Amino acid sequence: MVSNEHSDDVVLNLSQQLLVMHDQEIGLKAIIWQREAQIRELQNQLAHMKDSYENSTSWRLGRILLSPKRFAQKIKYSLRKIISN
Amino acid sequence: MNSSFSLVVLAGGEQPGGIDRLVRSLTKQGMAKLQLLVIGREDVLSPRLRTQFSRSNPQCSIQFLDPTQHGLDEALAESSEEYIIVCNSNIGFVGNALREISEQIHDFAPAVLYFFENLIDANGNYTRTIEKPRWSPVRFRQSSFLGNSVVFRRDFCRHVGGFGDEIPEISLYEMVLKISEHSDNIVCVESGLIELFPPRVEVQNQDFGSVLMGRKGAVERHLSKLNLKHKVELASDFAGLAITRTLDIATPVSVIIPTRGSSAEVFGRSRILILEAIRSLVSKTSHANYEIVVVADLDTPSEVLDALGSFKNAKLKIVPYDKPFNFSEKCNLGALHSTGEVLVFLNDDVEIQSDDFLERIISPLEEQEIGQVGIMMYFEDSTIQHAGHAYSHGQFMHVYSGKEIHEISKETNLLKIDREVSGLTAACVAVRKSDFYKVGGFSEFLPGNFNDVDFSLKMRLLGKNNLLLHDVSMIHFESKTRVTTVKPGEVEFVRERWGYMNYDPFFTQDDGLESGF
Repeated sequence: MVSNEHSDDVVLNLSQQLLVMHDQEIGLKAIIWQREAQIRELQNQLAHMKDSYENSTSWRLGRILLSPKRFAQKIKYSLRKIISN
Repeated sequence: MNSSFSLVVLAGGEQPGGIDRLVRSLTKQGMAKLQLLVIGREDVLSPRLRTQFSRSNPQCSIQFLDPTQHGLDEALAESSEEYIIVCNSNIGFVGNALREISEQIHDFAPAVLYFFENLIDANGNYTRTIEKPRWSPVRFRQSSFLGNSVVFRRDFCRHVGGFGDEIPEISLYEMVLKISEHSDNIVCVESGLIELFPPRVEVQNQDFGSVLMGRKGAVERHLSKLNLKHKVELASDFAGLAITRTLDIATPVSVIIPTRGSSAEVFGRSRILILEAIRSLVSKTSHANYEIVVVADLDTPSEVLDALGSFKNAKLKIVPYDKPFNFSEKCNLGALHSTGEVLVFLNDDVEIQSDDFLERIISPLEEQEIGQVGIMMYFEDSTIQHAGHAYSHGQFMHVYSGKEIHEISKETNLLKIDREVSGLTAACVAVRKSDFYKVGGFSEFLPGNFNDVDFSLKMRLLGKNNLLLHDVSMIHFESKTRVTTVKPGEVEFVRERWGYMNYDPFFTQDDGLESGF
């Protein structure tokens, strides 16, 4: 038969181990939470990059289509500059 | 990812063309869909800009609501989009503001969202960014920090019964309180998303006293719904509210004090620290149901142990600790030997100053969202030792440490209110035993330093707040010049677990400043 004192010690020891396990569990959750935040941040950055790429392409196209005269002038100017150099 | 919004502009009494600047900023946002609801006369927007706005996207619409007959509830009824942005007329949205808000909505689906503001002077120059703390319900009840533009999820506004008939400064504040009764998903975007221009003269002259009285009523109704019997008054020393809690004199408490029975010279006289700490505790509480658990190293002098037995009035238990120094393990061991529902961890090198100490430090724990409660601490020379932790630029700091309180109070109201903080020192904190177990107590991997930082962050991960009481205090006889010996691996452990913390979300540059709602 196990004495009361001994069983108290066992309970205390197990409780302490349980505390440490809970600490480790929440520590792992913290690392997962960190990684999730990083993934969200990267996804948002990616979306920004995609948008700015698309916007810049459409902006250029828009300039060509809306003002072909000005675009032609610009090309002419650039060519002249290249030739003169 | 673009969300669509109903944008409600409070433009009652605005001059002709008064919202041109705001609408101009909207035309640059490239929104897929935007419903603009202006509570104001039609001439507050120039005809040219009105046409420009409508042409910017066929899905953008504009509607004017007569300010003499319509208020926020009419705007809410007219709103067609899932999210409503309510804003004052003296703002403009910065570059990608609506996109940023859309991303936050996509990521978190918040019930309420608010953000930093870029302050612009009368000459149109940027002066600084007004920062806001992360959602802090206790602080918000005493002092609003919303600013001049708030985003609400429409179904929540309808669910809580709408905005009511008060002026916007009160009804928007109360709307946030009402929503917070149902959801804690209130998000602060830590970026300046609007430009804040100087308000018109009539707005500046508004009677702030009546706004405060209105907010007082709102907080009383809010607390009543939460079944909290606090007393709400206008604060005497700043433009906010002072809230007094009902003292908890019944919940069983265990005060856990790790010690090795050291003596030190204090106020020019030698004292055995643990004995004076307990003496001050016993004399400063009338709590009916508490025990003291002293976790004592094996080398604690026998005369100290004998003297501890002389505290007849206190239920005192001594737990021997026979291992190499580990503060966390000592605290955990004390908790495992305790019987209270609430644990109060107390260093032995302290002297409690405030009356009703135990009752006051445990009272906030009746609110489930509060995980841990701490108090103000002063050095022996009465300068501040602890007024909350701030974690920023990879450092773990005591805010205002070594400063005089009256100097700080000239610059900010922060030390005149109870407030949520990133962390609390373990020299004195109260925590529910159930929460203590849920987070695994103090991490035994951190025997000397940062165990309180880690514990505070674990509470945050559990969804609980760390609260600092501004008017409960003690002296902490810790040397101001003490060099903390950080053991190898301690900083790395905290960084690995919590990452590099660059910016403290609760301690902002603008604490004490209030503008807008």
